[in-house]
Amino acid sequence: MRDARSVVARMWGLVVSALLLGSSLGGSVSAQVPSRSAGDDVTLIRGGTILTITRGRIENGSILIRGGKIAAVGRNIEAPPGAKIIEARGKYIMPGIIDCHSHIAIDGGVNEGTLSVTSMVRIEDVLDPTDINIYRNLAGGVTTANILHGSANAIGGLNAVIKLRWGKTAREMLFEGAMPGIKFALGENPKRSNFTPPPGTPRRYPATRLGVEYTIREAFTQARNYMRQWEEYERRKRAGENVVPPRRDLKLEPLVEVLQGKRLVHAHAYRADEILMLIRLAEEFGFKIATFQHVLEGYKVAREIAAHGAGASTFSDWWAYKVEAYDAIPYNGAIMARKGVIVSFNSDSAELARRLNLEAAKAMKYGGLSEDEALALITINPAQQLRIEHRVGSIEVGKDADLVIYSGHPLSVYSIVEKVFIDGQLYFDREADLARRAEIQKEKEALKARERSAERRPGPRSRPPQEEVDGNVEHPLPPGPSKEVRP
Amino acid sequence: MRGSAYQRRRPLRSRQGRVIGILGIALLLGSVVRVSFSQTPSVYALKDARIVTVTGPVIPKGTVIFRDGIITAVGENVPIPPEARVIEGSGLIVYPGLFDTQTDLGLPSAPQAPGPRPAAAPAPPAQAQAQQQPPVPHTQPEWLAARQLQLGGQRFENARAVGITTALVIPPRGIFIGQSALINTAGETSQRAVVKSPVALHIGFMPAGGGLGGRFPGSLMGVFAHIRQTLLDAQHYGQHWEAYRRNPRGLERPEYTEVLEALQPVVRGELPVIFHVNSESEIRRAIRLAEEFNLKFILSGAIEAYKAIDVLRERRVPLLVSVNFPERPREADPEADEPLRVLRLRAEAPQNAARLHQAGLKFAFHSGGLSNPRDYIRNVARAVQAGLPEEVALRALTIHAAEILGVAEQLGSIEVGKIANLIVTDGNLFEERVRIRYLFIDGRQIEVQPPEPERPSAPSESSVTVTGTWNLTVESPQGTVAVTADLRQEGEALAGVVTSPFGQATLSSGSVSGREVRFTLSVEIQGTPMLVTFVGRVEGDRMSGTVTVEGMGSFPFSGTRPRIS
Repeated sequence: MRDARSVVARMWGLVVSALLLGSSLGGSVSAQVPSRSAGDDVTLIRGGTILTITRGRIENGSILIRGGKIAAVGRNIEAPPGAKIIEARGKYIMPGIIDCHSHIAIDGGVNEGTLSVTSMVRIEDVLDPTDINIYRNLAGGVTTANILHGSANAIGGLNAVIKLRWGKTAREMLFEGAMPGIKFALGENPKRSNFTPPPGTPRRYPATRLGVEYTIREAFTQARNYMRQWEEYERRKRAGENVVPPRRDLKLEPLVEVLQGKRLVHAHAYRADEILMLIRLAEEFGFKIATFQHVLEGYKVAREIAAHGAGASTFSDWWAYKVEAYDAIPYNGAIMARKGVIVSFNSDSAELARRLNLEAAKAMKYGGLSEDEALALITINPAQQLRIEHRVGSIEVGKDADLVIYSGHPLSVYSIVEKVFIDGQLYFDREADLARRAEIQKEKEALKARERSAERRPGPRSRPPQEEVDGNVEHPLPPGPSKEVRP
Repeated sequence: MRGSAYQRRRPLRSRQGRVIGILGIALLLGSVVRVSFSQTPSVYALKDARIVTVTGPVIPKGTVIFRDGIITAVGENVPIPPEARVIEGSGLIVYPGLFDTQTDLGLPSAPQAPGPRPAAAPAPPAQAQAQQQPPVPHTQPEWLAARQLQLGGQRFENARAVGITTALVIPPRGIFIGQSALINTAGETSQRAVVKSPVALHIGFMPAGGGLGGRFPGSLMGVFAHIRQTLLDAQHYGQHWEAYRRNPRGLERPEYTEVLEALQPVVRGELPVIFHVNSESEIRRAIRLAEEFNLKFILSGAIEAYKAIDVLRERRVPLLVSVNFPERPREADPEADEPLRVLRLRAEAPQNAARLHQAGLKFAFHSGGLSNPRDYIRNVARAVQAGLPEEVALRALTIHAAEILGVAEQLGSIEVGKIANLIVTDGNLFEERVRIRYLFIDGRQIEVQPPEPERPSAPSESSVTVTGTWNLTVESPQGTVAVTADLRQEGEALAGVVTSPFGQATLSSGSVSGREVRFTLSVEIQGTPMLVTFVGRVEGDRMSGTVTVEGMGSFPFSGTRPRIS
């Protein structure tokens, strides 16, 4: 009796596991992800309207992709033998969207909020390549994102610029060669004015805008001393003295890189006065602010921002959600652009990132930017702000083949993203996505049915793994609004 | 008083010892004088049993002889010494004792050790606090499991009842958790139990949960920064001391620091690090970190290792694989639309080991915090059902564990010269109804409790059932905070969701022991996760106790569970 039962149980187990092995190999995520290397793959996208951004519009144009790069753009491009052909008649093709302010794909907290200076923490360490928001943003035409630490601290953590290579590992998503950056934050968030601390928590310094400035000044004073300490060490070592190298300080090293111009500062800021404060502080210490983020009062100090050489990454028409956002106007982006500031529109939100094309469109209504100028807000301009414009942000020969095919003009609310390429590889295909949904549902039902039947049989029940909740084993629900302290 | 008593007894005992010692020598004629004073015979012969040696071929009918804790002969025709106690083994199977390569067995109530002591009162001023507590929570690389052992008791009996004779003990959580010890589970003194200490430094990626102004690190990225800085400091510390020892003239003397001192063998690549990781991302992150610092390392947990086979194979990473497979929560909403990824992981987890084996990776098993040791062996059997060859499963419970933990000369197989940790069963180890008839640890027979009635991981009789919706009130200095806790109990484990003015959070851990309830969750306060731990007692539908918020203090709470019907 006993033996017979255990044999049956075992056979059942074998059958089920064989089935599962088969199904997970067949219908897994990897089936939809393109093959590993771009290699020498040749693809020709032909017959569409090409919005190059930097070189105008090409009607009935084609783009030849070779080895992940744009090899040719124009009207009469012959398909080389063996090339994969993608028909784009009636469609619009534009460069992949670049989101200069995003908090997707971060595991275990967007803010290291325990301290006011957290330049030792790195987004790169905690990228979560399985965050479904990567795929959703991709489906909205985003191909590159600047993943930033939250704005809880005057000096936050180090950023990671990623390409949304859905299905790849965290390491493989990093935008190779992108200049490293760091998040700063000014105003209400770092001084914690909008938040009642929970009972018993000591209030964190700083509590005022003055304190925010002091915190940054203090950190850079330390960084300068640290730099000198190392220079002194090198000098004494050269002189043959018995010296021990200074302790490496991961908090100060990135700030030294900022002082040396090797790391970009992305500073969350709203008010004109604090924008000027940071410009003055940076100039006093001899470094540059790469971008002001949000920068809703940027229109008041656009000339000063342009003179400093900073970019501005702002919202289209998002304001009045807190006191320091009361003076915002929808013309902000256009005014700053007219005054010579490189302007981009960002999402700061996993949801908004799916329709940044429509955010760009608003700059035509408010401020009268041209089509190209509006599209530049989400393509070549953020590329310049992140110092990756030699690689992405426009459709030009030699650049990465990061391309979006829209069903219509991308500035129209009726247009839909149909295909998205990164490095010439197809990472999102609306048709394939729709076709897979029934299959996914079927697989889900099969897996659930199997679990139910397994539960009816006596068997081990156990605690969930210890790390399950801390780690990223599961994402039971699509994360809600970005976990960042609101902009 | 104590001193004099000791002195009075000592001559007596030593005289007695000497007499018995002389007798022993006379009786045993030339055999080693390591005779113990206990009554149990020191020579055993397990006769006519099927012997699964693991490292050699199976002996269908043979004898194992062991003396003074060491195996002295294994084979088909082995002469049985006359002084041996003979155990008739026909129809029985002899296996080497099994390993559990990560458990908190024998450690004092694991959640508290070695983590930080919860603040009893509102946090003192920063400076005073810095002096009282370690500068960073969960950072105690100097902590030695071997010094904290509390041996014996029901948990040891349960472990032995399924054949576990050796365990790597360490608390499951923390950042620099401490150094593990490998123990035999006879449950006697720690002097006898410890096989090896330290085995490894254990590192986990658990945020300390400090909120704004709380204690660093409060986020996962903070944990990585903290680990990196600490290892850099350890390197610098070693470098500084070395320079100072070589030539102290003109050099500032480095400060002696216990934490950094303990990390020296780690940064020198002598003591391995065992990373506690489960997901694919955690596995890849641990490998990157280990390579950044050239650490000798092992991964433990590794539930999703089959997704990272590329990198594991390339670097030949040894693995301690948990068989605590993720399960569907018992009282989950049947209509809930769980993502495919989650469903797939639950289906695929039992196949993990088979896939690692197919990829040529070496691994040992561990129970991964399963509360019932029977489930440990049962889940290994599930891995076998999912395609892992049975002999590989056995190796993962024995010799591979010994090899990965560096004790293959002593343990992990039935070979002459090895420690006599043996189990004798009445059938195949992976059969559901198999019984362990005899068990030997260090050559001494230990009585095995008959298997408990079939009620895996069920609450004991005296336990309460906590499942239900609780309306709780927390008394903080700023006023009362209303909290709703939707709890579901599963054996001794507790899962659920807590709703408070700070939002909704899922329990990260929870347990029920007798009437005591303990659950922890991470609450996002002002964008920063803070660890909140409830410890309470349940009387019927009432619960009361203390809630501790990391870095903030402890407050009383109480509440009830309204009955719906």
